[in-house]
Amino acid sequence: MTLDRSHREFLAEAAEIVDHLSAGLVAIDAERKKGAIAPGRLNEVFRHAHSLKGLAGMFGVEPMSRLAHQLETFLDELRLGRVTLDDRLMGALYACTDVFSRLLADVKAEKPIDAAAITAVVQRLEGPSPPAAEPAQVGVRSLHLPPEALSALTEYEEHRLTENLKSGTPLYKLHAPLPLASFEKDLAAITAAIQADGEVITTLPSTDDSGTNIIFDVVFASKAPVAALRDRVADLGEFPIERVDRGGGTPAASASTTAPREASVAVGAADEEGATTLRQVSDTVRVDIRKLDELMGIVGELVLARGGLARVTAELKQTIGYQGLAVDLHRLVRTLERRIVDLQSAIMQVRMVPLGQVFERMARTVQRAATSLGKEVTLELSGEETELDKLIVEDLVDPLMHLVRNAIDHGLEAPEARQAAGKPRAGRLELRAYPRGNHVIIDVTDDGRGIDEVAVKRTALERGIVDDDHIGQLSRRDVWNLIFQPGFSTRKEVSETSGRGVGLDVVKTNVSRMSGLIDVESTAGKGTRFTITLPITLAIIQAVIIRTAQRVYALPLASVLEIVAVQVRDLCSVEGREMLQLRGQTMPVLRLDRVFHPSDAGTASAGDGTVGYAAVVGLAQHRAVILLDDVLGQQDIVIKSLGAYLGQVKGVAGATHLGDHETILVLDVAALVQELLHGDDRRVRGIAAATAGA
Amino acid sequence: MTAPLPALIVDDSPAARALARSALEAAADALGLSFEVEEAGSGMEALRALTAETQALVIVDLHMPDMTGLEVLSFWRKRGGGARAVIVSTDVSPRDREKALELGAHALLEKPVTVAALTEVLRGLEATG
Repeated sequence: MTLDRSHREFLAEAAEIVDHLSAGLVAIDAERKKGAIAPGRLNEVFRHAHSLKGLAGMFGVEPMSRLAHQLETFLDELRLGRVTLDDRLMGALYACTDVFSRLLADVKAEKPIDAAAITAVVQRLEGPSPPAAEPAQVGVRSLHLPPEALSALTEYEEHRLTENLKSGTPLYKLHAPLPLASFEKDLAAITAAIQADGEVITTLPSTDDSGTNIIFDVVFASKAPVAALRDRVADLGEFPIERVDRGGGTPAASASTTAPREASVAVGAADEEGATTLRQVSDTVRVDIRKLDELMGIVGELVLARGGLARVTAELKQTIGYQGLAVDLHRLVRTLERRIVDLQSAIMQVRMVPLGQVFERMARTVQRAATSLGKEVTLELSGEETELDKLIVEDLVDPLMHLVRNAIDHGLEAPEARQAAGKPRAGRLELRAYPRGNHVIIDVTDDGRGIDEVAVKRTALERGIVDDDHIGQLSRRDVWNLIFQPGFSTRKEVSETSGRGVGLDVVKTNVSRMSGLIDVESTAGKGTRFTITLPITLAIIQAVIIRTAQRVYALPLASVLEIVAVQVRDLCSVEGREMLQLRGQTMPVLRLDRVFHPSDAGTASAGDGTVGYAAVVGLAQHRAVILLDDVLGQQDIVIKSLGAYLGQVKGVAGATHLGDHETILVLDVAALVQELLHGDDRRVRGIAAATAGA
Repeated sequence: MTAPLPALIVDDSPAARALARSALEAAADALGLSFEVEEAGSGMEALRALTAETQALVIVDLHMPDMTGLEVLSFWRKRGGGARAVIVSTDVSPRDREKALELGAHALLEKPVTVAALTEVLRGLEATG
């Protein structure tokens, strides 16, 4: 199959709409036979036809858009009450979805489209329809609605108001100012409450002066008493509900004038063509990523079960020796193990998407930023095929976009300045991705002016990020890394150039949130390189199981740079804080017992005086060490949430099961290090000074 | 060269958004304009985007599951509006066209949105830019 990507996307989206369309028609048919079709249902099917027509038109599938057009027109008439749906028309509607399915199959097979089938169906829809009830002109204008509400009504909404007026169903307006933070959810709840026995006709949004609320005027029809309606939305707030029709002079009983056609129709009257193939033509399936998480969780449980089995096998070997059943069992366990690994990697594969789509978006950003900043930029991309977890790719867009804008704005010089410096007029910006073990590295490199260390120091001093005493002690790397400090770039500065008002500290935070690291390197006059290191996935993580102060924890391997044996003499104290000297670098020390069990910290410092281990961990460009008593092993773990009750514990990412029914805590290294580093400003400076002393 | 103008494309179909985006970019290029395009997949998302930023250009689908294009347009206007607003739809009834124009839409375009149609709508912006 040589379909290109946009074609496949067309097929996937179109097939989805056709599915919704047929499901909607089946529901309408069922409601029709019961006596009354919900107006919302007709409107929904109309929208599907509308979407399908738009889609087909966009991709130039002319016969399909012609049929969708016909269908849309017909459904529009239907929802506006100008046509009554009888068996013949219902059959024609079903025939439409069949033809759509066949059309999609033809498009997929790249076969010429059979126009005759379409013409036949179009004629059936166009054929003489039973006379529809003439819509009586009941004035929508007579409703007590503000002019701006009236002016935003679509023809269909006006029709629904008219219909409800005709049937004497009371019309109301509910006035709901909803907070910006949660208006989507709140409005959905209000709408659902009304729709329990009413019809929402229009939802007009507006703002008040405060800017903290979005105000919705929900106009709806309902026969339920106002008090009941008020009760139902009471949980969400006290919203004024006002009657907007003439005050209910017409008795509701007159509703029976819209006498539905009784189900005198034979139930089996579904059209013959309904039986033709409705096979799915798209090969792609859209899956909610949470379902994949669930699958991954099950695999995790499977891994645990396998662990239990392996232990029993080992015991069996001990008792009866490596013979008979023990050998068979051992082999079976090995086979099971391999299959589980296959299953795990197969599920992982499904979550993986190539970085190419993110890079494509960057290309657009580069063009726009270059134009607006008056720079010339050649963009070079490599490693687009490198794959990452879908969730990470989504979260990567913002930080990457920021780095790209930053490079064009601050990194690359204007064409004239470049020429004067003996460089080509056009600046070079390179985006490169490549896998390294369980990580993916993404470089953003420019050949611009490099980081001006003097200017960075000056800014850092001005903004109080470092003080005079310590600035002299900072290494070049420390100076570069100052640009990631919160408050280094101010909103004003950034908004002039990249329009989004975030600094590199936000980039750093975003990268850390994905358990990633960010580093910067720069050569004056030659350029700057930002390096982002990301784990391939967050769904299953590799962890080191460690013990410290008699407690066992899982430490995500992604945040561990190395584990080294340490002696007491490697530890020192700087400004009252414990530090570790490692290969000439000084890093702050984290003792887990002091974080989680401050009360018994005194007794638990078993690592003192003897040899222990230190795990060097990183949060973005920061490094710290966690002291451990022992490393128990390495294991793939699935992190489970601690639930709402314990979910807030700082420094804990969740819990996981070890094979032997033991549950241990998984450390949130980012939070621990953040806590350690940014406890307060004074400490930050102390650490900056200490690292500088290296 | 002028600074990019913030623009919002609202449609519940991802393909339609992608097409509108590329048409907009091509039209902008032709006129020497540039847009910082944000996309919204529902009326609610659109409201959120409109509260966060003052959009100079709004392109919105007439029929969406949670809201109509007219409602989104009316909200945009109440928040101060911007340079251009375009409603798109597959089938434009004369009544809806009249309503959209009354509400302050600059055009009601039939889907699929073409570069030529958008260029027509954007013409004049390069001067005021």
